Amino acid sequence: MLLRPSVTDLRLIAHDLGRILAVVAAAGLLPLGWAIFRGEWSAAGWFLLMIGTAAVPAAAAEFLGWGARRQRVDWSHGLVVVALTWLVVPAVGTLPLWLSGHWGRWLDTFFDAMSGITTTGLSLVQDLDHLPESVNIWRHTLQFLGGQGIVLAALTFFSASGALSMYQAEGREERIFPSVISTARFIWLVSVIHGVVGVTALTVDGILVQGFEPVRSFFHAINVFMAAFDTGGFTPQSTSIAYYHSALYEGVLAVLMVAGAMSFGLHHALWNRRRGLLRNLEVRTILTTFGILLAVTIVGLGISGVFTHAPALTRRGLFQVLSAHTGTGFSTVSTTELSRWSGLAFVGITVAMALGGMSSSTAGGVKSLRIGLTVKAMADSIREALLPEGAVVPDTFQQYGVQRLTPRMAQSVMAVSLLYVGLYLLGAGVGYAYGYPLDQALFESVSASAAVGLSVGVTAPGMPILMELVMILQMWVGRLEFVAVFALLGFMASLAVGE
Amino acid sequence: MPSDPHPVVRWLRRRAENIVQGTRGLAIEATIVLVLIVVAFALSFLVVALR
Repeated sequence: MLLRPSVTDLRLIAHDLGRILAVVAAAGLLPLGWAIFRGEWSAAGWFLLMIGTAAVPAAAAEFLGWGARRQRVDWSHGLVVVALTWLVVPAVGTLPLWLSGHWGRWLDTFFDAMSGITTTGLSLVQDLDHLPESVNIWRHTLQFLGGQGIVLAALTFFSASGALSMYQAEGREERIFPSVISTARFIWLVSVIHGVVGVTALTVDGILVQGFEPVRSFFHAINVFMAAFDTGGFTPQSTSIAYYHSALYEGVLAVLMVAGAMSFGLHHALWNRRRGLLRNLEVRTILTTFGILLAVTIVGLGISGVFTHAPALTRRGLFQVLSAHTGTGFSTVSTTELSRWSGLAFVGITVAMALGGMSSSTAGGVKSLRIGLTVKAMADSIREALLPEGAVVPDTFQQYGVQRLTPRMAQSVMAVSLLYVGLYLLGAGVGYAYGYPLDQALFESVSASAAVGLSVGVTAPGMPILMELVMILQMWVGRLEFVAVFALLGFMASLAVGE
Repeated sequence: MPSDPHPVVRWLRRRAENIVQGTRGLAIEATIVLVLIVVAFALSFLVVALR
Protein backbone atom coordinates (compact mmCIF):
# COMPACT_ATOMS: atom_id res chain seq x y z
CA MET A 1 0.00 0.00 0.00
CA LEU A 2 1.32 3.42 -0.94
CA LEU A 3 1.17 6.15 1.68
CA ARG A 4 -0.15 9.46 0.36
CA PRO A 5 2.34 12.29 1.13
CA SER A 6 1.11 14.80 3.68
CA VAL A 7 0.80 18.56 3.19
CA THR A 8 3.97 18.91 5.26
CA ASP A 9 5.82 16.70 2.75
CA LEU A 10 4.74 18.95 -0.10
CA ARG A 11 5.68 22.09 1.86
CA LEU A 12 9.13 20.66 2.56
CA ILE A 13 9.72 19.89 -1.10
CA ALA A 14 8.45 23.32 -2.17
CA HIS A 15 10.69 24.91 0.44
CA ASP A 16 13.83 23.18 -0.84
CA LEU A 17 12.96 23.87 -4.47
CA GLY A 18 12.49 27.51 -3.53
CA ARG A 19 15.99 27.65 -2.12
CA ILE A 20 17.34 26.16 -5.32
CA LEU A 21 15.51 28.81 -7.34
CA ALA A 22 17.15 31.41 -5.09
CA VAL A 23 20.52 29.99 -6.19
CA VAL A 24 19.40 30.32 -9.83
CA ALA A 25 18.41 33.94 -9.22
CA ALA A 26 21.81 34.61 -7.63
CA ALA A 27 23.60 32.88 -10.54
CA GLY A 28 21.70 35.12 -12.97
CA LEU A 29 23.63 38.08 -11.54
CA LEU A 30 26.77 36.89 -13.39
CA PRO A 31 25.36 37.23 -16.94
CA LEU A 32 23.44 40.33 -15.83
CA GLY A 33 26.69 41.94 -14.67
CA TRP A 34 28.41 40.97 -17.92
CA ALA A 35 25.50 42.37 -19.98
CA ILE A 36 25.78 45.71 -18.16
CA PHE A 37 29.59 45.70 -18.49
CA ARG A 38 29.39 45.07 -22.25
CA GLY A 39 26.40 47.37 -22.86
CA GLU A 40 24.03 44.54 -23.90
CA TRP A 41 21.00 46.37 -22.54
CA SER A 42 18.30 44.14 -24.05
CA ALA A 43 20.00 41.08 -22.62
CA ALA A 44 20.26 42.83 -19.23
CA GLY A 45 16.46 43.17 -19.30
CA TRP A 46 16.04 39.45 -20.09
CA PHE A 47 18.22 38.50 -17.14
CA LEU A 48 16.36 40.85 -14.79
CA LEU A 49 13.15 39.16 -15.88
CA MET A 50 14.63 35.72 -15.25
CA ILE A 51 15.99 36.70 -11.84
CA GLY A 52 12.53 38.00 -10.89
CA THR A 53 10.88 34.84 -12.21
CA ALA A 54 13.16 32.74 -10.03
CA ALA A 55 13.16 35.01 -6.97
CA VAL A 56 9.37 35.43 -6.55
CA PRO A 57 8.55 31.70 -6.24
CA ALA A 58 11.72 31.31 -4.15
CA ALA A 59 10.40 33.86 -1.65
CA ALA A 60 6.94 32.28 -1.73
CA ALA A 61 8.40 28.83 -1.10
CA GLU A 62 10.45 30.16 1.80
CA PHE A 63 7.25 31.52 3.33
CA LEU A 64 5.41 28.27 2.56
CA GLY A 65 8.08 26.16 4.17
CA TRP A 66 8.22 28.25 7.33
CA GLY A 67 7.70 25.78 10.18
CA ALA A 68 7.72 22.76 7.90
CA ARG A 69 11.49 22.93 7.52
CA ARG A 70 11.93 21.86 11.13
CA GLN A 71 10.49 18.49 10.16
CA ARG A 72 12.84 15.65 9.34
CA VAL A 73 13.65 15.41 5.63
CA ASP A 74 14.05 11.79 4.63
CA TRP A 75 15.79 10.03 1.78
CA SER A 76 12.79 10.11 -0.58
CA HIS A 77 12.32 13.88 -0.13
CA GLY A 78 15.92 14.44 -1.15
CA LEU A 79 15.54 12.30 -4.26
CA VAL A 80 12.30 14.00 -5.28
CA VAL A 81 13.85 17.44 -4.83
CA VAL A 82 16.85 16.46 -6.96
CA ALA A 83 14.67 15.06 -9.75
CA LEU A 84 12.46 18.17 -9.75
CA THR A 85 15.48 20.49 -9.60
CA TRP A 86 16.73 19.16 -12.94
CA LEU A 87 13.31 20.00 -14.45
CA VAL A 88 12.55 23.31 -12.78
CA VAL A 89 15.95 24.97 -13.24
CA PRO A 90 16.12 24.43 -17.02
CA ALA A 91 12.50 25.58 -17.31
CA VAL A 92 13.35 28.91 -15.60
CA GLY A 93 16.74 29.08 -17.35
CA THR A 94 15.15 29.08 -20.80
CA LEU A 95 13.83 32.62 -20.40
CA PRO A 96 16.88 34.62 -21.63
CA LEU A 97 17.58 31.99 -24.29
CA TRP A 98 14.06 32.24 -25.67
CA LEU A 99 14.02 36.06 -25.58
CA SER A 100 17.34 36.22 -27.48
CA GLY A 101 15.60 34.84 -30.59
CA HIS A 102 18.43 32.42 -31.39
CA TRP A 103 16.35 29.28 -30.94
CA GLY A 104 13.62 28.14 -33.34
CA ARG A 105 10.98 27.04 -30.81
CA TRP A 106 10.61 27.09 -27.02
CA LEU A 107 11.30 23.36 -26.80
CA ASP A 108 14.72 24.00 -28.39
CA THR A 109 15.58 26.41 -25.55
CA PHE A 110 14.45 23.81 -23.00
CA PHE A 111 16.61 21.25 -24.81
CA ASP A 112 19.64 23.53 -24.51
CA ALA A 113 18.94 24.44 -20.89
CA MET A 114 18.53 20.75 -20.03
CA SER A 115 21.71 20.02 -21.98
CA GLY A 116 23.44 22.73 -19.91
CA ILE A 117 22.21 21.70 -16.49
CA THR A 118 22.94 18.02 -17.17
CA THR A 119 26.44 19.00 -18.44
CA THR A 120 25.71 17.35 -21.79
CA GLY A 121 26.66 20.00 -24.34
CA LEU A 122 24.38 19.17 -27.28
CA SER A 123 22.81 22.33 -28.67
CA LEU A 124 20.03 23.50 -30.99
CA VAL A 125 21.12 27.16 -31.00
CA GLN A 126 21.10 28.98 -34.32
CA ASP A 127 23.86 31.40 -35.31
CA LEU A 128 25.81 30.79 -32.09
CA ASP A 129 28.68 33.00 -33.28
CA HIS A 130 26.45 36.09 -33.00
CA LEU A 131 24.76 35.25 -29.71
CA PRO A 132 25.03 38.07 -27.12
CA GLU A 133 28.02 37.39 -24.85
CA SER A 134 25.91 37.50 -21.69
CA VAL A 135 23.54 34.82 -23.04
CA ASN A 136 26.58 32.71 -23.87
CA ILE A 137 27.81 33.16 -20.30
CA TRP A 138 24.39 32.03 -19.04
CA ARG A 139 24.59 28.81 -21.12
CA HIS A 140 27.96 28.04 -19.57
CA THR A 141 26.82 29.06 -16.09
CA LEU A 142 24.02 26.49 -16.38
CA GLN A 143 26.67 23.87 -17.01
CA PHE A 144 28.68 25.05 -14.04
CA LEU A 145 25.60 24.98 -11.81
CA GLY A 146 24.66 21.53 -13.06
CA GLY A 147 28.15 20.20 -12.64
CA GLN A 148 28.82 21.53 -9.19
CA GLY A 149 25.34 20.54 -8.25
CA ILE A 150 22.71 23.15 -7.57
CA VAL A 151 21.73 21.06 -4.61
CA LEU A 152 25.28 21.20 -3.34
CA ALA A 153 25.24 24.98 -3.63
CA ALA A 154 22.03 25.08 -1.64
CA LEU A 155 23.64 22.88 0.99
CA THR A 156 26.72 25.07 1.17
CA PHE A 157 24.84 28.30 1.53
CA PHE A 158 21.79 27.36 3.52
CA SER A 159 22.77 24.24 5.48
CA ALA A 160 19.19 23.07 5.18
CA SER A 161 17.80 20.28 7.25
CA GLY A 162 17.92 16.94 5.49
CA ALA A 163 21.21 17.98 3.92
CA LEU A 164 22.61 14.47 3.97
CA SER A 165 19.77 12.86 2.04
CA MET A 166 19.89 15.51 -0.69
CA TYR A 167 23.62 15.15 -0.89
CA GLN A 168 23.48 11.40 -1.35
CA ALA A 169 20.66 11.62 -3.86
CA GLU A 170 22.91 13.59 -6.15
CA GLY A 171 25.24 10.67 -6.59
CA ARG A 172 28.04 12.08 -4.44
CA GLU A 173 27.97 9.32 -1.90
CA GLU A 174 31.60 9.48 -0.84
CA ARG A 175 31.89 11.43 2.35
CA ILE A 176 35.41 12.81 2.35
CA PHE A 177 34.93 14.79 5.52
CA PRO A 178 32.77 13.98 8.53
CA SER A 179 30.14 16.58 7.60
CA VAL A 180 28.34 17.21 4.34
CA ILE A 181 29.01 20.92 4.55
CA SER A 182 32.77 20.49 4.87
CA THR A 183 32.69 18.08 1.92
CA ALA A 184 30.81 20.64 -0.11
CA ARG A 185 33.37 23.28 0.84
CA PHE A 186 36.18 20.99 -0.30
CA ILE A 187 34.44 20.52 -3.66
CA TRP A 188 34.21 24.29 -4.06
CA LEU A 189 37.86 24.70 -3.02
CA VAL A 190 39.00 22.24 -5.69
CA SER A 191 36.88 24.08 -8.27
CA VAL A 192 38.17 27.51 -7.27
CA ILE A 193 41.82 26.45 -7.48
CA HIS A 194 41.29 24.82 -10.89
CA GLY A 195 39.29 27.88 -11.92
CA VAL A 196 41.98 30.40 -11.03
CA VAL A 197 44.75 28.38 -12.71
CA GLY A 198 42.64 27.34 -15.71
CA VAL A 199 41.12 30.74 -16.48
CA THR A 200 44.52 32.45 -16.10
CA ALA A 201 46.26 29.96 -18.43
CA LEU A 202 43.49 30.16 -21.05
CA THR A 203 43.33 33.97 -20.89
CA VAL A 204 47.11 34.31 -21.33
CA ASP A 205 47.05 31.82 -24.22
CA GLY A 206 44.17 33.76 -25.81
CA ILE A 207 46.09 37.02 -25.62
CA LEU A 208 49.51 35.72 -26.65
CA VAL A 209 48.64 32.98 -29.16
CA GLN A 210 45.28 34.01 -30.61
CA GLY A 211 45.84 37.75 -30.32
CA PHE A 212 42.55 38.33 -28.50
CA GLU A 213 41.96 41.56 -26.58
CA PRO A 214 42.19 40.88 -22.81
CA VAL A 215 38.43 41.18 -22.16
CA ARG A 216 37.57 38.93 -25.12
CA SER A 217 40.19 36.44 -24.05
CA PHE A 218 38.82 36.39 -20.49
CA PHE A 219 35.29 35.91 -21.84
CA HIS A 220 36.35 32.82 -23.78
CA ALA A 221 38.49 31.52 -20.92
CA ILE A 222 35.78 31.72 -18.26
CA ASN A 223 33.18 30.08 -20.52
CA VAL A 224 35.43 27.30 -21.72
CA PHE A 225 36.73 26.67 -18.18
CA MET A 226 33.18 26.22 -16.84
CA ALA A 227 32.40 23.79 -19.66
CA ALA A 228 35.68 21.86 -19.31
CA PHE A 229 35.92 21.45 -15.55
CA ASP A 230 32.26 20.50 -15.29
CA THR A 231 32.60 18.20 -18.32
CA GLY A 232 29.86 20.21 -20.04
CA GLY A 233 30.98 20.76 -23.60
CA PHE A 234 29.29 24.04 -24.57
CA THR A 235 31.62 26.50 -26.30
CA PRO A 236 31.14 30.16 -27.22
CA GLN A 237 31.76 29.44 -30.92
CA SER A 238 30.04 27.01 -33.30
CA THR A 239 33.31 25.33 -34.27
CA SER A 240 33.90 24.23 -30.66
CA ILE A 241 37.57 24.07 -29.64
CA ALA A 242 38.78 23.95 -33.27
CA TYR A 243 38.08 27.72 -33.24
CA TYR A 244 41.21 28.37 -31.18
CA HIS A 245 43.73 26.50 -33.38
CA SER A 246 46.04 26.18 -30.40
CA ALA A 247 47.71 23.02 -29.11
CA LEU A 248 48.45 24.78 -25.82
CA TYR A 249 44.77 25.71 -25.37
CA GLU A 250 43.83 22.09 -26.05
CA GLY A 251 46.47 20.92 -23.56
CA VAL A 252 45.09 23.13 -20.77
CA LEU A 253 41.57 21.91 -21.54
CA ALA A 254 42.77 18.29 -21.50
CA VAL A 255 44.05 18.78 -17.93
CA LEU A 256 40.75 20.40 -16.90
CA MET A 257 38.72 17.62 -18.51
CA VAL A 258 40.76 14.97 -16.67
CA ALA A 259 40.27 16.89 -13.41
CA GLY A 260 36.52 17.17 -14.07
CA ALA A 261 36.09 13.45 -14.67
CA MET A 262 38.04 12.52 -11.51
CA SER A 263 36.05 11.73 -8.39
CA PHE A 264 36.34 14.25 -5.58
CA GLY A 265 37.46 11.37 -3.39
CA LEU A 266 40.46 10.96 -5.68
CA HIS A 267 41.12 14.72 -5.65
CA HIS A 268 41.16 14.56 -1.86
CA ALA A 269 43.49 11.57 -1.88
CA LEU A 270 45.87 13.30 -4.31
CA TRP A 271 45.83 16.51 -2.29
CA ASN A 272 46.75 14.56 0.82
CA ARG A 273 49.44 12.39 -0.78
CA ARG A 274 47.52 9.21 -0.11
CA ARG A 275 49.46 6.20 -1.37
CA GLY A 276 48.32 3.08 -3.20
CA LEU A 277 45.75 4.85 -5.38
CA LEU A 278 46.68 2.73 -8.38
CA ARG A 279 45.31 -0.29 -6.49
CA ASN A 280 41.81 1.27 -6.46
CA LEU A 281 39.40 -0.65 -8.67
CA GLU A 282 37.97 2.54 -10.18
CA VAL A 283 41.37 4.04 -11.05
CA ARG A 284 42.52 0.75 -12.60
CA THR A 285 39.31 0.42 -14.58
CA ILE A 286 39.41 3.93 -16.06
CA LEU A 287 43.11 3.67 -16.93
CA THR A 288 42.49 0.31 -18.63
CA THR A 289 39.42 1.38 -20.60
CA PHE A 290 41.05 4.67 -21.57
CA GLY A 291 44.19 2.91 -22.81
CA ILE A 292 42.23 0.34 -24.82
CA LEU A 293 39.84 2.88 -26.37
CA LEU A 294 42.66 5.29 -27.22
CA ALA A 295 44.48 2.47 -29.02
CA VAL A 296 41.31 1.34 -30.81
CA THR A 297 40.51 4.88 -31.99
CA ILE A 298 44.03 5.70 -33.14
CA VAL A 299 44.42 2.39 -34.98
CA GLY A 300 40.98 2.92 -36.55
CA LEU A 301 41.86 6.44 -37.70
CA GLY A 302 45.24 5.24 -38.98
CA ILE A 303 43.74 2.36 -40.97
CA SER A 304 41.01 4.53 -42.48
CA GLY A 305 43.58 7.06 -43.63
CA VAL A 306 41.72 10.09 -42.21
CA PHE A 307 45.05 11.39 -40.93
CA THR A 308 48.32 10.60 -42.68
CA HIS A 309 50.70 12.31 -40.26
CA ALA A 310 51.39 11.10 -36.72
CA PRO A 311 51.19 14.55 -35.01
CA ALA A 312 47.75 15.33 -36.50
CA LEU A 313 46.54 11.81 -35.68
CA THR A 314 47.78 12.13 -32.08
CA ARG A 315 46.30 15.58 -31.54
CA ARG A 316 42.85 14.90 -33.01
CA GLY A 317 42.56 11.29 -31.84
CA LEU A 318 43.63 11.88 -28.24
CA PHE A 319 41.51 15.01 -27.78
CA GLN A 320 38.35 13.35 -29.09
CA VAL A 321 38.82 10.20 -26.97
CA LEU A 322 39.57 12.31 -23.90
CA SER A 323 36.52 14.46 -24.56
CA ALA A 324 34.32 11.37 -25.03
CA HIS A 325 35.60 9.34 -22.05
CA THR A 326 35.43 12.29 -19.64
CA GLY A 327 31.92 13.10 -20.91
CA THR A 328 32.88 16.64 -21.90
CA GLY A 329 31.90 16.83 -25.55
CA PHE A 330 34.46 19.35 -26.80
CA SER A 331 35.58 18.73 -30.34
CA THR A 332 38.54 19.76 -32.48
CA VAL A 333 37.06 18.32 -35.67
CA SER A 334 33.89 19.44 -37.42
CA THR A 335 30.61 17.55 -37.06
CA THR A 336 30.84 16.49 -40.72
CA GLU A 337 34.39 15.21 -40.24
CA LEU A 338 33.42 13.34 -37.07
CA SER A 339 30.51 11.68 -38.89
CA ARG A 340 33.06 10.27 -41.35
CA TRP A 341 35.02 8.51 -38.58
CA SER A 342 34.03 4.93 -39.23
CA GLY A 343 34.98 1.42 -38.18
CA LEU A 344 37.23 1.12 -35.14
CA ALA A 345 37.43 4.89 -34.59
CA PHE A 346 33.64 5.13 -34.40
CA VAL A 347 33.51 2.19 -31.98
CA GLY A 348 36.28 3.67 -29.82
CA ILE A 349 34.56 7.05 -29.43
CA THR A 350 31.06 5.61 -28.91
CA VAL A 351 32.17 3.12 -26.25
CA ALA A 352 34.27 5.81 -24.52
CA MET A 353 31.13 8.00 -24.30
CA ALA A 354 29.02 5.11 -23.02
CA LEU A 355 31.46 4.19 -20.23
CA GLY A 356 31.93 7.74 -18.91
CA GLY A 357 34.15 9.02 -16.10
CA MET A 358 34.47 8.30 -12.39
CA SER A 359 31.72 8.28 -9.79
CA SER A 360 31.38 11.42 -7.63
CA SER A 361 32.50 13.53 -10.58
CA THR A 362 30.62 15.67 -13.06
CA ALA A 363 31.01 13.05 -15.81
CA GLY A 364 28.04 10.95 -16.92
CA GLY A 365 27.73 7.48 -18.42
CA VAL A 366 27.78 4.11 -16.72
CA LYS A 367 30.88 5.20 -14.72
CA SER A 368 34.13 3.34 -14.18
CA LEU A 369 33.33 1.98 -10.72
CA ARG A 370 30.20 0.25 -12.04
CA ILE A 371 32.15 -1.14 -15.01
CA GLY A 372 34.89 -2.43 -12.70
CA LEU A 373 32.39 -4.00 -10.29
CA THR A 374 30.36 -5.56 -13.12
CA VAL A 375 33.50 -7.13 -14.59
CA LYS A 376 34.59 -8.34 -11.15
CA ALA A 377 31.16 -9.85 -10.40
CA MET A 378 31.14 -11.64 -13.76
CA ALA A 379 34.73 -12.86 -13.36
CA ASP A 380 33.94 -14.12 -9.84
CA SER A 381 30.92 -16.05 -11.15
CA ILE A 382 33.00 -17.68 -13.88
CA ARG A 383 35.76 -18.51 -11.39
CA GLU A 384 33.23 -20.07 -9.01
CA ALA A 385 31.88 -22.23 -11.82
CA LEU A 386 35.34 -23.40 -12.85
CA LEU A 387 36.85 -24.03 -9.41
CA PRO A 388 36.18 -27.22 -7.45
CA GLU A 389 33.10 -27.25 -5.26
CA GLY A 390 33.70 -25.59 -1.91
CA ALA A 391 36.55 -23.39 -3.19
CA VAL A 392 36.28 -19.82 -1.90
CA VAL A 393 36.49 -16.92 -4.38
CA PRO A 394 37.42 -13.69 -2.56
CA ASP A 395 34.66 -11.10 -2.96
CA THR A 396 36.75 -8.12 -1.93
CA PHE A 397 38.13 -5.21 -3.93
CA GLN A 398 40.23 -2.11 -3.28
CA GLN A 399 38.53 1.29 -3.25
CA TYR A 400 40.17 3.55 -0.67
CA GLY A 401 40.64 0.44 1.48
CA VAL A 402 39.31 -3.10 1.25
CA GLN A 403 35.60 -3.29 0.36
CA ARG A 404 33.33 -6.29 0.00
CA LEU A 405 31.29 -6.85 -3.15
CA THR A 406 28.02 -8.14 -1.70
CA PRO A 407 25.49 -9.90 -3.95
CA ARG A 408 23.08 -6.99 -3.36
CA MET A 409 25.71 -4.46 -4.46
CA ALA A 410 26.55 -6.51 -7.55
CA GLN A 411 22.87 -6.77 -8.41
CA SER A 412 22.32 -3.04 -8.03
CA VAL A 413 25.43 -2.16 -10.09
CA MET A 414 24.41 -4.50 -12.90
CA ALA A 415 20.83 -3.24 -12.87
CA VAL A 416 21.94 0.39 -13.33
CA SER A 417 24.45 -0.63 -16.04
CA LEU A 418 21.68 -2.47 -17.89
CA LEU A 419 19.35 0.51 -17.54
CA TYR A 420 22.01 2.67 -19.23
CA VAL A 421 22.25 0.17 -22.09
CA GLY A 422 18.46 0.31 -22.40
CA LEU A 423 18.53 4.12 -22.44
CA TYR A 424 21.20 4.11 -25.18
CA LEU A 425 19.13 1.69 -27.28
CA LEU A 426 15.91 3.66 -26.75
CA GLY A 427 17.32 6.81 -28.39
CA ALA A 428 19.03 4.80 -31.13
CA GLY A 429 15.73 3.09 -31.93
CA VAL A 430 13.82 6.36 -32.13
CA GLY A 431 16.51 7.95 -34.33
CA TYR A 432 16.56 4.91 -36.61
CA ALA A 433 12.77 4.99 -36.86
CA TYR A 434 13.03 8.59 -38.08
CA GLY A 435 15.34 7.47 -40.89
CA TYR A 436 18.78 8.31 -39.48
CA PRO A 437 21.53 5.72 -40.12
CA LEU A 438 21.70 3.34 -37.15
CA ASP A 439 25.32 4.18 -36.29
CA GLN A 440 24.60 7.93 -36.21
CA ALA A 441 21.39 7.44 -34.21
CA LEU A 442 23.29 5.30 -31.68
CA PHE A 443 26.16 7.79 -31.44
CA GLU A 444 23.80 10.70 -30.71
CA SER A 445 21.72 8.63 -28.29
CA VAL A 446 24.78 7.61 -26.26
CA SER A 447 26.05 11.18 -26.36
CA ALA A 448 22.79 12.49 -24.86
CA SER A 449 22.28 9.73 -22.28
CA ALA A 450 25.87 9.80 -21.02
CA ALA A 451 25.93 13.62 -20.80
CA VAL A 452 28.73 13.95 -23.37
CA GLY A 453 27.67 16.32 -26.17
CA LEU A 454 29.68 15.13 -29.16
CA SER A 455 27.52 15.15 -32.27
CA VAL A 456 27.60 13.71 -35.77
CA GLY A 457 24.92 16.13 -36.93
CA VAL A 458 21.71 14.40 -35.84
CA THR A 459 21.06 17.05 -33.18
CA ALA A 460 20.16 20.05 -35.32
CA PRO A 461 17.50 22.77 -35.40
CA GLY A 462 14.30 21.39 -36.91
CA MET A 463 14.87 17.82 -35.71
CA PRO A 464 11.66 15.82 -35.13
CA ILE A 465 9.88 16.92 -31.94
CA LEU A 466 9.44 13.38 -30.58
CA MET A 467 13.14 12.72 -31.01
CA GLU A 468 13.94 15.99 -29.27
CA LEU A 469 11.66 15.02 -26.35
CA VAL A 470 13.29 11.59 -26.10
CA MET A 471 16.75 13.17 -26.01
CA ILE A 472 15.62 15.58 -23.26
CA LEU A 473 14.38 12.55 -21.31
CA GLN A 474 17.66 10.73 -21.91
CA MET A 475 19.70 13.70 -20.64
CA TRP A 476 17.53 14.04 -17.52
CA VAL A 477 17.34 10.35 -16.65
CA GLY A 478 21.00 9.68 -17.53
CA ARG A 479 22.27 12.57 -15.41
CA LEU A 480 20.25 11.52 -12.37
CA GLU A 481 21.37 7.89 -12.74
CA PHE A 482 17.76 6.63 -12.70
CA VAL A 483 17.20 6.40 -8.96
CA ALA A 484 15.99 9.99 -8.40
CA VAL A 485 13.65 9.71 -11.39
CA PHE A 486 12.19 6.46 -10.04
CA ALA A 487 11.72 8.13 -6.65
CA LEU A 488 9.85 11.01 -8.32
CA LEU A 489 7.62 8.58 -10.23
CA GLY A 490 6.92 6.72 -6.99
CA PHE A 491 6.12 9.98 -5.23
CA MET A 492 3.70 10.98 -7.99
CA ALA A 493 2.06 7.57 -7.86
CA SER A 494 1.62 7.86 -4.11
CA LEU A 495 0.08 11.31 -4.59
CA ALA A 496 -2.38 9.90 -7.10
CA VAL A 497 -3.35 6.57 -5.57
CA GLY A 498 -1.89 6.59 -2.05
CA GLU A 499 -4.04 6.23 1.02
CA MET B 1 53.98 28.65 26.05
CA PRO B 2 53.46 30.23 22.59
CA SER B 3 50.13 32.00 22.12
CA ASP B 4 47.66 30.88 19.43
CA PRO B 5 48.14 32.68 16.12
CA HIS B 6 45.63 35.36 15.14
CA PRO B 7 42.54 33.93 13.30
CA VAL B 8 43.52 35.84 10.16
CA VAL B 9 46.98 34.26 10.25
CA ARG B 10 45.41 30.82 10.74
CA TRP B 11 43.07 31.43 7.83
CA LEU B 12 45.95 32.55 5.61
CA ARG B 13 48.01 29.50 6.58
CA ARG B 14 45.14 27.18 5.73
CA ARG B 15 44.64 28.85 2.34
CA ALA B 16 48.39 28.67 1.61
CA GLU B 17 48.30 24.97 2.47
CA ASN B 18 45.29 24.52 0.14
CA ILE B 19 47.17 26.23 -2.69
CA VAL B 20 50.15 23.91 -2.25
CA GLN B 21 47.81 20.86 -2.17
CA GLY B 22 45.89 22.12 -5.22
CA THR B 23 49.10 22.73 -7.14
CA ARG B 24 50.19 19.17 -6.34
CA GLY B 25 46.86 17.85 -7.66
CA LEU B 26 47.16 19.93 -10.84
CA ALA B 27 50.73 18.75 -11.38
CA ILE B 28 49.58 15.12 -11.20
CA GLU B 29 46.71 15.80 -13.64
CA ALA B 30 49.12 17.53 -16.05
CA THR B 31 51.48 14.55 -15.77
CA ILE B 32 48.64 12.17 -16.66
CA VAL B 33 47.93 14.24 -19.79
CA LEU B 34 51.63 14.32 -20.73
CA VAL B 35 51.85 10.53 -20.41
CA LEU B 36 48.75 10.18 -22.58
CA ILE B 37 50.27 12.45 -25.24
CA VAL B 38 53.45 10.36 -25.31
CA VAL B 39 51.49 7.08 -25.52
CA ALA B 40 49.15 8.46 -28.20
CA PHE B 41 52.06 9.79 -30.25
CA ALA B 42 53.95 6.49 -30.06
CA LEU B 43 50.82 4.64 -31.20
CA SER B 44 50.10 7.12 -34.00
CA PHE B 45 53.67 6.97 -35.23
CA LEU B 46 53.53 3.18 -35.29
CA VAL B 47 50.16 3.07 -37.08
CA VAL B 48 51.20 5.63 -39.72
CA ALA B 49 54.53 3.86 -40.28
CA LEU B 50 52.91 0.43 -40.68
CA ARG B 51 50.07 1.56 -42.94
